[in-house]
Amino acid sequence: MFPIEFVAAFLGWMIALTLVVAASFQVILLWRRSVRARYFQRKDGAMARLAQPVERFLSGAADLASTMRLLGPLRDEAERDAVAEMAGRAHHPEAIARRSRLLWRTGHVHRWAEAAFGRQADAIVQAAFAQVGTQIPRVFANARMNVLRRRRIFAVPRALALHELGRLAPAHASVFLAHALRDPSVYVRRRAVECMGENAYPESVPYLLEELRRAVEEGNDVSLRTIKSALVRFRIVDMEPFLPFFRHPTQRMRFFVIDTLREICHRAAKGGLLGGSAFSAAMRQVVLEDCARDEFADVRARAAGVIRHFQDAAAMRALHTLLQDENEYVRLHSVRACAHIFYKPLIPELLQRVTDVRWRVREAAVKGLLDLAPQGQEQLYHFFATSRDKYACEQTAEELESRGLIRNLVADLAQGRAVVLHLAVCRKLLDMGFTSMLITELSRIARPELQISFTEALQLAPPEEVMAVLREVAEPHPEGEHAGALQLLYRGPQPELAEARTV
Amino acid sequence: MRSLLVHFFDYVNAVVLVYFIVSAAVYTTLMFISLYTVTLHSRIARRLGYGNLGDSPVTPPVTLIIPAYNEEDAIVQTASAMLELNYPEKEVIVVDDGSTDHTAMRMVQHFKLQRVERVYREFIPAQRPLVFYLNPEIPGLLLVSKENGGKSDALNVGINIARSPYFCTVDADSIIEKDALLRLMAPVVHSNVNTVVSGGVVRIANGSTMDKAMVRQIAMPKTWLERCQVVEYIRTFLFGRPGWNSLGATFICSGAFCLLNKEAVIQAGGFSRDTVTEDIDMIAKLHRDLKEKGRKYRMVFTTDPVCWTEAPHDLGTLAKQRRRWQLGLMQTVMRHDKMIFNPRFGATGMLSMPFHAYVEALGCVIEAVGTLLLPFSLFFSSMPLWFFAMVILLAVSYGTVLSMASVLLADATVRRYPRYRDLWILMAYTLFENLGYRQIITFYRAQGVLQYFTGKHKWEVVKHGGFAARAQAAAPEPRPVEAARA
Repeated sequence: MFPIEFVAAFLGWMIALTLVVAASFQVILLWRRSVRARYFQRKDGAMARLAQPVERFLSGAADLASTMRLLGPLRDEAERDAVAEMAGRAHHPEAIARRSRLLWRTGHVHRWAEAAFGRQADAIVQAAFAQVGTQIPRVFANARMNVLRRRRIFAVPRALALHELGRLAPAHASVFLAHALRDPSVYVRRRAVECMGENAYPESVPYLLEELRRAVEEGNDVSLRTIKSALVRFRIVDMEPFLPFFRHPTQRMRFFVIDTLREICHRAAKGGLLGGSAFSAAMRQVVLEDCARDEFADVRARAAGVIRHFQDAAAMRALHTLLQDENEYVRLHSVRACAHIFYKPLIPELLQRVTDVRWRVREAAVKGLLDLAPQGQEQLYHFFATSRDKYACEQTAEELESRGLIRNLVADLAQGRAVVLHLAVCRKLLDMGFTSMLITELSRIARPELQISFTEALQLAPPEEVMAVLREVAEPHPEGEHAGALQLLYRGPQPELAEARTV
Repeated sequence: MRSLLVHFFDYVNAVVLVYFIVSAAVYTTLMFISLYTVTLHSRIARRLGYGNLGDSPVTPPVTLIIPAYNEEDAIVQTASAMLELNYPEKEVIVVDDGSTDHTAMRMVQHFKLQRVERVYREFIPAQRPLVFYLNPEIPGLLLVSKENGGKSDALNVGINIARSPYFCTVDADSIIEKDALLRLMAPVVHSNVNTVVSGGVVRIANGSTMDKAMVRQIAMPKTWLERCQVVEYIRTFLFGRPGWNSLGATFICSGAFCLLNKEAVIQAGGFSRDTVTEDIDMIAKLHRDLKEKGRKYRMVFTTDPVCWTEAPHDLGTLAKQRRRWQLGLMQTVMRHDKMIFNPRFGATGMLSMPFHAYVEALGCVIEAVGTLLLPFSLFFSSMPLWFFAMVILLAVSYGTVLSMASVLLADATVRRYPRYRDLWILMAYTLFENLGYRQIITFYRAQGVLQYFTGKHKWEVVKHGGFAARAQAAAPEPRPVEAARA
């Protein structure tokens, strides 16, 4: 065993070491706080001093030379960060272009480029500011020291610098971003991809598609979702480079490309009307001819979401075919695609899908028909009232409750609209046990005579809740029409209601 | 007889020493890994943000499942906060697990919910829901009432109803920061491997100022017990878990705030109903199931999504909580003992499982016994006084180093204590926490282990006061500059 002196000395040194480490952590903590406090103090001062010239330049009220004179030499990091932060508030494209020129002249761009690209920075900055409006130059790789450059400790400063470069005017930023795609670190490349998406500069699309191809075919540590998130930010008119990929031999590639296009269309449709004219003839053809007939079901499924926006006879035919597809996901997406006023003629096909063997398709069909109100809704009500398909009816009833349509049904009944059909729907709901919301809504009707007549019409074998409602109706006024409320519950079937039950 | 006792104490001391060396080596490694990864991650998170995920259609939808049992004080506030979360597509399912108070009624009244019938499809065995409530005008909210079956059962019901590919478990008495879900999802989006679990940090809200289910001003609590817990939580969440995560051996993600892949959980059989810490068990189950099936997967722990929770205010409640946690840990490591030192389970099997089994689960018994026997060994002269004093001093100073490192990490992250006063208190408690609090916790944990071996496997209910009840006067909104720097 060790001699006791050795143990004592060892313990002593260990104690001293731990105390020193604890004390140094404490010092680092306090030092860090005080440095940050001083930094923010200087930055606040710089922002107050330099805000006006920067804002004037960004708004176009001052030229670059005079702004540079007013800014003077930026002395430390706090001042440089203050200018970058103030310039970063520009959102208008013209202001962003001015910001790029300002940050180039103040030396920010060089500084960031040096942090991001090291010795190649000068060449890339030159390329970025000379190549405005032309093709992005071919990127070159630097394989030296890649093992070290991949380490997070070295990659994070590069990613942060690239983040700043990516916020320059898209024409300049895209050059830096294209170069950054060859960086060995995933942090830097991911940031490059994200910035490309944020800028949505059309000339970046081929680079992103190449990243997508690498992710699908070769393995890419930038994830498919990240690349797709970037691609979906582009406009439909920027999607021409997609065309060759719709016929790509790899089915996953075809899938990701059509799915991205679907998301772009969806996003565009949210922002306003999107019609067939938004797509080029080549794009329409490839989607209708190739994607809608692709051997890979997921491609066909996603194609339906794009075809929806074509809104012409060819699209109608394609969706009609896809609605009958053998694959449930194709049917599901096609059903969703048909939920548009243009595709009202496909309501009968949608009704067929309400009885689909797959519940997701049934659910989508019910939702689609309700979205196609009033025709689709009315057809669904007719179907619901007469169908004996338990699953289809359950799906419909659930959706009627979830959307709060029972309130509309009861309100329509109260106003005497579509009484026969709506009574039949209510009757069916009660038969199926979907009573809760219906009863709540019935109890909310202000006129007791209406409640009574509905109850009579529905010929309830009443559950306890209905009894309670009816008692409530009857009890405050035991005389007159209220007195009949409970009595009405136990009447036998009324011949005049046969019509309602056989709609 | 004396010689026998001396030998006995020698052996005990040797075991305690080995335990101390092993745990110190592992904690020191974790500390350095975390100092490296957490500070770098904080730099990225602070500067780059997650704005592009917030409006991306590619960001997967998430279902937030809130199991609630007798949470009438907190449930409305929590559900409202969940609905307000910054996330593109989400649904909130509150599962009232047979509460005997007015939990469901509070929800119905506040959100004007209506009773409806729903088609219930069972993917994981669980008690059938009795009633569903929704408001068609709040389409993202669903309340489900069922008979009491425990938290696991409530979560399983929520999973059966959930429509999204991912779900997030949220405790009914917790508060989640507005961007936290987005931050939790970021590693999932950026990963090209199936990410089945994404965990975030849980911090203690005691002492902080709350307003409208949000933490407005972070501050240290007033009592020593709560302050010690603050240091302990920071240490656990800022260097324990990130450290294991960096080694690819995540073993614990707090169920108070954890994102899980629904399909993977269903495949693993859902949450176990016979354990008191279903969250720890689920992580082990997922590791086991996915490794056995040869699937590629990933579990991540991120330090910037923050969930705020209320820590126990008194020793009795703390004891119940810690006994339960320890019992749950024991149940998990014993149930999945075939993973221990099994190379088939990778870093989890070779590193974190053995560590959690022998150091975290059983180690507290050694620590407790050692703490009890040290004075006796001194009395029987088995150990010289100077040696005894030095060992104690080393243990305390080492514990302080670990806590100090975590405070340093906390200051590097987005959610730091802004006031210097709080910082001083925090630093002071990195020392005080090792003098008394740590020993108390060790004994509670040892009791948990004893409960396991004596077969007392019941859930000890920990009743919180509730944020609403303890909410301090709403402080003014932090100035924009402070908010940006916080």
